[in-house]
Amino acid sequence: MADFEFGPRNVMLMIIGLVLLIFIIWMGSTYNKFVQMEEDIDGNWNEIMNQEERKFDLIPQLVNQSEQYQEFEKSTLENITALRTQWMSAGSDEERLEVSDEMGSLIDDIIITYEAYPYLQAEGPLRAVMDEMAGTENRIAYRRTKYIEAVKDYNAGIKKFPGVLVANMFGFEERENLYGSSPGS
Amino acid sequence: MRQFTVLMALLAAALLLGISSSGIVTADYPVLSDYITDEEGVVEYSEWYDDIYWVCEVLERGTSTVMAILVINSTGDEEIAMYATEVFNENGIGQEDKDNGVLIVVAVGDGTYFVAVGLGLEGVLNDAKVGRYGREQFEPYADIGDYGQGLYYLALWIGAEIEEHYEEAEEKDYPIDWIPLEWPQLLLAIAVTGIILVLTGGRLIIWIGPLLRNLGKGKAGGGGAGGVFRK
Repeated sequence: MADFEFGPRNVMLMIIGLVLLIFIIWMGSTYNKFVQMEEDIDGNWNEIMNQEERKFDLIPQLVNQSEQYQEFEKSTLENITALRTQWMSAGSDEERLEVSDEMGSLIDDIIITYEAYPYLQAEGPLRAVMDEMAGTENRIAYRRTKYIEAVKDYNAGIKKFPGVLVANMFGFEERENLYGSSPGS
Repeated sequence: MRQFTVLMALLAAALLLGISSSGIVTADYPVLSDYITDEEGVVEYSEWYDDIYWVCEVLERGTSTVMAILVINSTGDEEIAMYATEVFNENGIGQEDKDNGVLIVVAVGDGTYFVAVGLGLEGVLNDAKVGRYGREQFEPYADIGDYGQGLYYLALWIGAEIEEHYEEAEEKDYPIDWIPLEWPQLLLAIAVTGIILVLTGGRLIIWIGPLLRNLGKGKAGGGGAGGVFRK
């Protein structure tokens, strides 16, 4: 076996080997990071849809309780019921989001009425369903923020150098933010 | 040759920096190191402080649920529900595998409060129940500026609800009952602490307080309820 010498050629080979090793480790770690980021996007989106589902499940209760008070407009309650039917027959997440937006403005009308009459806010079934509705909206708002952040971070990650190298190599594609540019809407 | 070596070394350093910086997290939220964090001094110096602390302690011992309280002046532009959920998740309140934490945030200057409930407790503490406890137990006292008493009753009712419905999977016996570590982990922790104490010339003491009161790694998803009171 030949003796190993720390000659210029061997040192160079060692450095190249080390750099390659670091590059492979970095590539693996970046790949895993992108996979995790995609999981985060999908996880947050699924949770948004679960909570939207929960919101629409609460609608019959909300309508039943609200109907007992003349302060709530009958037409608003009828529209809410119709939107729930639309939600249930929606074929895609995008469609569901549109229905949910429309529903949001009708629920806002109900909340405005509810807050205008203090006696409506007495402890009881209506108060309970309003608390559940508010809690569901909080969950959606929280997940929506996380979803938008996750999409933004992921899209920036796969476009920036050096992440773009791994993204192109393994086919990571840009993800669409389904809330568009105005997340608060 | 030398230039090539320097270039390769720089590339390696850049890649290493890229790997190490990928996990950096910036936190703008308060760090909670104990059951009660009172930035406004409205609870810390009240006669109710010990009672609130006792409720939190008994709850954790009995059910492993961690209940924390944060009093601040304002959440700024952020909604208190979002703020509380972010603080909850940044600090990881409750056990990692159970997500059984509760965080009560009171923003004295804004006149708002929110009770953030961990994912594992949402079945026990639904939004309607938490909302009712807030209105009945906390708001009447907060309206007159008696935050200590309001928080005590709110914590007590929430604690009682959890105690009544929460099923603890298993109770473990630890060498020191208030430190959840087995013998080997405990000895290792003592040895590591000793070495670091010697190496840092005792400066570790500055950080050891918060480390002893670990609130866990639980998660919340925005559930809970809150309300307003007269500032």
